[in-house]
Amino acid sequence: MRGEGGAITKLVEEFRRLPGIGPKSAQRLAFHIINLSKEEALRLAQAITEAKEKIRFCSVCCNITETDPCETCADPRRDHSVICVVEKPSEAALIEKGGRYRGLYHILHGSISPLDGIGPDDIRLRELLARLADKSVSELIVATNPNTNGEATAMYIREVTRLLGVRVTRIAQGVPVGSDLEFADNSTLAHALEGRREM
Amino acid sequence: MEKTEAVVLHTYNLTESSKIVVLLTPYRGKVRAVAKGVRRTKSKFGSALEPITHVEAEIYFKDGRDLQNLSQAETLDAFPSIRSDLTRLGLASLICELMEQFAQEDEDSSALFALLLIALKTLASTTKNYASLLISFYLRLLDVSGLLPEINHCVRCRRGIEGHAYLEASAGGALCGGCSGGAGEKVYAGSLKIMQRLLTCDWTMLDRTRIAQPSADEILRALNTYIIHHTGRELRSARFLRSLPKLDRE
Ligand SMILES: [Zn+2]
Ligand SMILES: [Zn+2]
Repeated sequence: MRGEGGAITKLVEEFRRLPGIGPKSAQRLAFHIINLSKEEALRLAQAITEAKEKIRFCSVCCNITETDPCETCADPRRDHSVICVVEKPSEAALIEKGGRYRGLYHILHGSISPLDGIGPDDIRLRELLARLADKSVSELIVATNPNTNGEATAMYIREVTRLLGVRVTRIAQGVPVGSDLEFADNSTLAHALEGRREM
Repeated sequence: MEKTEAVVLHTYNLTESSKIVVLLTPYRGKVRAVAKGVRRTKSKFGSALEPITHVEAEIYFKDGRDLQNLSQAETLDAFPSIRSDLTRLGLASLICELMEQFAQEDEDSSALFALLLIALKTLASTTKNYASLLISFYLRLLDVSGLLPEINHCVRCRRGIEGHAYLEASAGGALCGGCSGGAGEKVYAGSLKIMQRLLTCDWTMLDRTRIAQPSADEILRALNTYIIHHTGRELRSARFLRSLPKLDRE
C-alpha cells in the first residue's frame, strides 16, 4: 500500500509544477489519470514523450518546431526582411491564424521582468540580435504584451538596436494595457499589427 | 468590503485568467489578494493591477484567510514616466521589492506606505542623480523599520569616525578601524557624512545632490549587504539593474 501512496504523491507533485495548477487541481488531475484505462494513460504518456523527443527550438526564430529551421523560416515565399517579435509561441500562432502577416517571427520565450530578476540575458534576445547582423532585416515589429514587462522589453529592444539601422515598430494599442495578448482575438491582433507605429 | 488606497508591488499569474496581486496598504500592511478575470482583454481592472501602480482598491477581507479577494481597483497614478525608462523602472522595481520584503501583513503600515509613495513620486520626476534617491530610500526604509544602522560614530567605542569605518549589520552600524577587526563593508568617513545628509534631507533636494561614483558605489554596496543581512535574500531587481548601464554614468 505504501508504494501506491508514493506513486500518487509523485503524480500530484508533477502536476503541481505545471503553470496555473494549485494543490486541488493537481489532486483532481492525478485521480483522473488513475481512473483512466491503461491504454488511455499510456497514450497520454506517449504523447508527452513524443512531443519532447520530436519538438525542438528553431535555430533561427526560436519557435517550437519539428524541423530546423522551422517551416516559416524555411519558406521562400515569406518576407524575410520583416520580423515580428513575440513573447510566446502561442502568440505567433495567433497572428498566423489571422492569415495576413507574411513576415517571419522571433520568439523571446519570456519578457524582461525586473521584479522577477529576469533580465535581457534570460530571454532569447541575443538570438534576435544575431539575426540583425547581416543587415537583411529592415523592420522589427515588437508585439510583446501591452503590460509593464512587455513594454520594458520593447524599450530594451529599441535601445539596443538604435545603431543597427533597422526600423523598429510597436503594435498599436488596440489591445488593452494589462491584458495578455494570448487572450486577444484574431481581428484585434490583426488591427494592432496593421496600426503599428515607429518606436 | 473595504475601500483602501494601495500600491501594487508585484503580481503573479494564478490561472488562465486570474492573478495574485501583492499590495501595500496604509492600514492593513501587505495584502495578498486574488483578482479574477484580470488577464482577459475586457477585464474591468484595466491596467490598474500592473506592478508599480497607485490604486484605490476594494478588497473583501476575511480574517485568517491567506488570500483576500480583490473586487475592484482604479488607477490613481500609473507613473508613466517610470515605465518609459528602463533605469527608472529598475529602480522602482527595487523599491517595490524591498517594500514587499519589509512590510508585514495585517499591521498598520502608514509610515511605510507614505515612504513608498513619496519615493515613487520623486523617482517619477527625477532624471538624474538616481544614486542619491536610492541611498536615501534605503536609509529611510531601514529607519521606518527600526533597523537604521548607527552612522554617526562607532557603535562599540562611541568615538567619531576618522578615515574609514566598517559597516557591519550584526553590530548594528559602523565600527571604527580599532573595533572592527576588518569584517563588514568598508566605508569612508566622507561617505558616512553623505549618508547622514541623505537620511534627513528634503526629497526635492535629491535630484540636485550628485554623489561621486566611488562614494555612491561604496555606500550602495554597504547598504545592500546590510539589507540582505536582515532579509536573508538577494534582491532580484538589483540583479536587473546591474544588467543596465551604470547609474548616473553618462
Ligand atoms: Zn524558425
Ligand atoms: Zn570603535
